[in-house]
Amino acid sequence: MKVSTKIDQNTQTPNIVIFAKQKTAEIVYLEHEIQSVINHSRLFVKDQEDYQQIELPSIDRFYTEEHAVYCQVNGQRYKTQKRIYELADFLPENLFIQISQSEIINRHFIQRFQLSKTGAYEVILRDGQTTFASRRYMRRIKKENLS
Amino acid sequence: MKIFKRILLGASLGINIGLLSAVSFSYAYQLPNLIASGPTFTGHFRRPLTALVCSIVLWGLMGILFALSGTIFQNDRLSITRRTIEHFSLTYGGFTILAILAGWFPLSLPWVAFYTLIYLLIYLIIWLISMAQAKKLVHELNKKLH
Repeated sequence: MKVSTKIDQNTQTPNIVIFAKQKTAEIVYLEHEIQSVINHSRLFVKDQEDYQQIELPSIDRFYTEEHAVYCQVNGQRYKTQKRIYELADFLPENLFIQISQSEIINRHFIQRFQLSKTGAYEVILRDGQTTFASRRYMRRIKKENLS
Repeated sequence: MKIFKRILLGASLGINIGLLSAVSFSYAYQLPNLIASGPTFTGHFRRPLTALVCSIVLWGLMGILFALSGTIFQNDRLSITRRTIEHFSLTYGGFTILAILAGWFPLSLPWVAFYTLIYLLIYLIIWLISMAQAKKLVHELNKKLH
C-alpha cells in the first residue's frame, strides 16, 4: 500500500481518502485506525466563531466555568463542545490528569501539588496559577495515572 | 432516595445501639426490668413504657444525626479544616441537645465543660490525622510527578 500526500490549494481542511478496488476488511480496519489516530491527537475547539484544531500535547488544561468547558493553550482559552467526563474518556492517560470533577490538566503543566494550611489540595500550575483538586481524584491519581 | 435510605439506616443503627446499651446498663445495675435511661429521665414519665418509647425516638434521632453528618465528609471539595468544623458544629450541637434530653448526663457546668473538652479533643485528633494523611498523599504525588 502506498501512502502519499497531495497538495491542493483549494482544500480547506486536510482530507484523507483511501483509493481501493473494493472495501475489504483490511481497508475498514485501516479507516478505523486512521480515524482513531486523528481523534486522539487533535481536538476541535471554538475560537470566536471559527472552529480550530489543536494538537493535544499543546493543551495545558481543561476546566469548567459557568457550565462551559474551556481549554487553555499558551495562555489563550478556547471553548470546547465536549464535557469534562467525555474528555476524561478520550484524552490519553499518560498525558492528562483529571484533578476534580471539573478540571483536567496536562501533566507537564503541573508544577507541584501542595496542601494548604486549611487542608485543601492545591495544584500549582506552570503559569503560576493555583487550582484545587478533590481528595477522591487525588487518590485516583495515586493509584492510576502516575504509577 | 439515597438520603431516605441513609436516614432509615441511621435510625435503625441508633435504636440498636441505644437498646443494647440500655440492656447492658440495666444488667450492670442489677435491675429487675429494662430501664431505658437514668432515673432523672425516667422520673419524668408515669409509665416506664412511655419512657422507653421516648428513649427509642431519641436514639433514632441520634442515629439519623450521625448518618446525615457523614455526608459532610463525602463532600471532598471542602478543605479538611472546613469539613471538620462543619461536622463538629452539627454533631456537637445536635448530639448535646439529644443527650441532655435523654438524660445521659446532668446539666451542670463541670459536666458540660468536661464533655465539651473530650468532644473537642476527639475532633482535634481526627483533624491532625486527616492533615497528616493528606500531607503524605501530596508528598507521594509530587514524588511521582517529578
